[in-house]
Amino acid sequence: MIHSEVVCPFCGLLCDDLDVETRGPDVEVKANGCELSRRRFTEANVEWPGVKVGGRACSIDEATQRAGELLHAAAQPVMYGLATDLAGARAVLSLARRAGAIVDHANGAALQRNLSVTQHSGGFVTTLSEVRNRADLIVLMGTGSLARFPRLVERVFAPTQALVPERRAARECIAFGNDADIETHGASSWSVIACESAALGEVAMALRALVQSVELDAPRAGGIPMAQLRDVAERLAGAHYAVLVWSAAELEHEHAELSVEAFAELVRALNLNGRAASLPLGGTQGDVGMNQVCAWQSGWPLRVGFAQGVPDYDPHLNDVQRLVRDGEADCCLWLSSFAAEGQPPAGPAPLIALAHPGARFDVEPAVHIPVAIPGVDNAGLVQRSDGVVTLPLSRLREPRGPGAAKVLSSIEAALVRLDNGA
Amino acid sequence: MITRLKGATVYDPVHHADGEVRDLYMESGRMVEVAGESARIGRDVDLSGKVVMAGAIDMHTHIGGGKVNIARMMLPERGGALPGTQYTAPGCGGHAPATLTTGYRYAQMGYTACFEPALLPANARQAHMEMADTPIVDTGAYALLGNDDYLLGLLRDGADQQAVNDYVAWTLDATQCIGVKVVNPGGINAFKFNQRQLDVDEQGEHYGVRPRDIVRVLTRALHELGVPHPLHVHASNLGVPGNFESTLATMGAAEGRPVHLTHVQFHSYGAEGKRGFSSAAAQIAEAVNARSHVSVDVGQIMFGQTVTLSGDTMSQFRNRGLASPRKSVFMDIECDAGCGVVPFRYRDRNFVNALQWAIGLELFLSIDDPWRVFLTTDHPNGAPFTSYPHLIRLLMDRTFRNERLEAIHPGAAKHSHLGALDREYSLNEIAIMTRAGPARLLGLADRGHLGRGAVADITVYDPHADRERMFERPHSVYKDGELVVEHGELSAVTQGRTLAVKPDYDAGVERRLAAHFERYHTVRLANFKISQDEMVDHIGSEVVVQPCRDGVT
Repeated sequence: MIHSEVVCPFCGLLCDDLDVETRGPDVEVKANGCELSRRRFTEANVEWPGVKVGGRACSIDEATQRAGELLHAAAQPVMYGLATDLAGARAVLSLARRAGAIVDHANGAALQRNLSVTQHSGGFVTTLSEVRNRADLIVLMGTGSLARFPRLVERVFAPTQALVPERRAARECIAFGNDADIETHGASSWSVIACESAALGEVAMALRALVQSVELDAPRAGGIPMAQLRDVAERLAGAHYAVLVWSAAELEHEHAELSVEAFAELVRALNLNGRAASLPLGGTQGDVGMNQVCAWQSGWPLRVGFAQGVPDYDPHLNDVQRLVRDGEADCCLWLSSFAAEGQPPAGPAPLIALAHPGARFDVEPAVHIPVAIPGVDNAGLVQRSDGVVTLPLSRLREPRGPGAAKVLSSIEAALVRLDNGA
Repeated sequence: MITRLKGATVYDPVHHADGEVRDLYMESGRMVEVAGESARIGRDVDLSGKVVMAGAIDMHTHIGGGKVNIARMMLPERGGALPGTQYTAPGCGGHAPATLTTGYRYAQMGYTACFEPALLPANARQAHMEMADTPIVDTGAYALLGNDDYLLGLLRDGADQQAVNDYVAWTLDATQCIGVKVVNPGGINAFKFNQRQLDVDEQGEHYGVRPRDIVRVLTRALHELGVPHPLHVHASNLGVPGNFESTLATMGAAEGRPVHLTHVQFHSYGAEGKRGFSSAAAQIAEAVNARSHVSVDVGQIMFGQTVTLSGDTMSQFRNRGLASPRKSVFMDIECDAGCGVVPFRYRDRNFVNALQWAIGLELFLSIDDPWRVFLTTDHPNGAPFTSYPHLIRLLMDRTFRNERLEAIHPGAAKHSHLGALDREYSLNEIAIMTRAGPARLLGLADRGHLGRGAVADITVYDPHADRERMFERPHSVYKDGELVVEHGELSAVTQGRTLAVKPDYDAGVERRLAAHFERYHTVRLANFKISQDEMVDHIGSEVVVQPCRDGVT
């Protein structure tokens, strides 16, 4: 059977025009899927492993009971990964409040790179349909992210039609990054300016000065000749709707939030006289949605903890990967339902793993419960990269196991019984 | 089993009870009538000496949606962390409260229904999820239209009224909303094209449509569709000195059809005096009094720290220099609308803020008909909703009000005629303004009153001369006949429902829209629409469809 207009949950773009065929228990992308979506849908056909406690096969009830015991005994439990749909996100927070856990996402560092700038000085952002229809200049600050959002060009930057056709006709793309990325995922019409990721911040600072007609003495900035930057600045200042695109996950250098701040400041300068906006790319592994649910239910975004009985937000201290590594957490619940790859954080704490059926572990978890893949095994909701649009996921086949929300609820019920002296 | 509430002092303006001492009866979540003693009375509650009203209804409060969440995320330093209790989860109070805390607080204040006034259609799922995660209170929302490229394209291309009506009705259905709001008509869209201001009779950049045209076609659409709630309008030129002219022009743009002007305090400014900022509350009140088709909510400001969050990107961006703390977030959104989040501190020693405070009160006290003026602070834009009891005291206690007037910037006090306004609101008028009136304006026939068939949403107050104290902490609250607040504390946490309307529309509009979505948007129409099943299964709040009036063709 062929399902049409299927939402693909495997990157932050949430393309929703896929045709996916189910044949018995197997799913396969038939149309409109990129190589990443085809790989993930095929990966969903992996054999379903059983539930295990300490490497030994057992029932789901035994496993959730054991997970409850581990959380009950812990003084500082943490919950990590959190790659799940919005129902899973609600269940994560309910359990976190009950267990007094700290919650953080596998993409927490990248989320914080953008969020710390918003928390410090704000910003001006836009969304996918706006860029698709209204932009006449797109500037990529880094090109490594293109591979992780394969249909970005087709669906956002270079669609066949736009609501403001003159903007689409005039649209130029300038990419600071490298040629190889553009060759595989970009468009031949783009201008590529070779630039290291760590130099992007300096480039943005120089552009910000140039668009405000500030004279710069230096012959280069970020390794790029000033004459070339002046040309880019002229196009930015003359654009009707300029969009600066980046992916915080790609900015791995130290204090990368300063680069993000430089991008935001460039956009701020452009909005003094014209119109411009930022498009930070994200939304993979359900990070945007998890962050939103956390903020609306608790009042604070991820890297909040409930050990004190009140929400305690600390984006520096509550870096869960570091807490686990340094032995400051004494129980870790890891949830990762979209992809088979990725490892839970390494450290001495006992691990409760709610994982994609294809997950493999370097160290056997104390509790291992395979969970349904959202958008394949269960219906639900996920949020897109731009943090505005929430899309519905379908159930494409009979699930072989429970979804994360159900498992987390069972664990919470076990914990409540233990708290009440059971 | 019938519960009898005995000897309550009832304020039910719909049934002309103005402090009448009587018994009330409820069964299975509804009010019933019982003649004489009945064997079916299973529970007796003694409410002698207590004041009883229907549950309060907040018809304009920003409780759900992306911009509310932006405020939460960008202001981590704001504090307000709260522990949980036996019944409640830990959360956050203050001016950007967590959704869970919001529900608890509203219920504790005797509110049983709250309406998000600015649901962005592309963001509808998130808005409804946040409202579903707002415990106890029933919720609903007004869908934003009038800055979306689709409608502006229809108007530019001379589409007929029927095309607009079908699109409006379809939007209400697809987004599960109860009304339609327009914010700075055409202005949010114009700002995307770098237009920095837009007067009521000025053409917007690119589409060339005037705010007046947008208000005209949308008021007409809702009227012809029979949607009870009139077009909810955040008028042009919010916050601009002299904007009272735009407000009057916006009233005129409705051409005599029902129209609701929201947070009208922000739209009642003159430009007189050496500071170029003055009160035009008298002119606005006079216009409201003379036009029975116009209703308003005030949007009162209170002194203190808050955060302004609004779909009006144009106005918010213009005012970004006033941000306190100095940071703000803006968004252009999905060919739909936009938003701006600007934290703000209102100071009583600041001339403008002090005069804004006075203007809001002038409006309350100068508008004669309590059925057409509603008590709001445009939470959190003017102040957090937890300030309503203080506001009620200001309206009911002239002495207290004049004392407060002495404490503000003296120049502002002089520029306001608030000191000369003697009026004190009665409990009956408060009941109209906070219950009966909102229910009527939203077309909620079974709420806002305590007559037979009404939902048993009941607030019980301990009367107190200090009206702030009285309204801050009701004695008890019933939601659908269940006791949720007892002795001022939450005793049960229930799940509210979503109230929506579904006027008829020609199914053909969906074919046209599907093509539009596929050609221009980044979401397919089939994935954009929210079904009632989805509301129950995934969003978490059941839809209760409210009837429309017979349409006018």
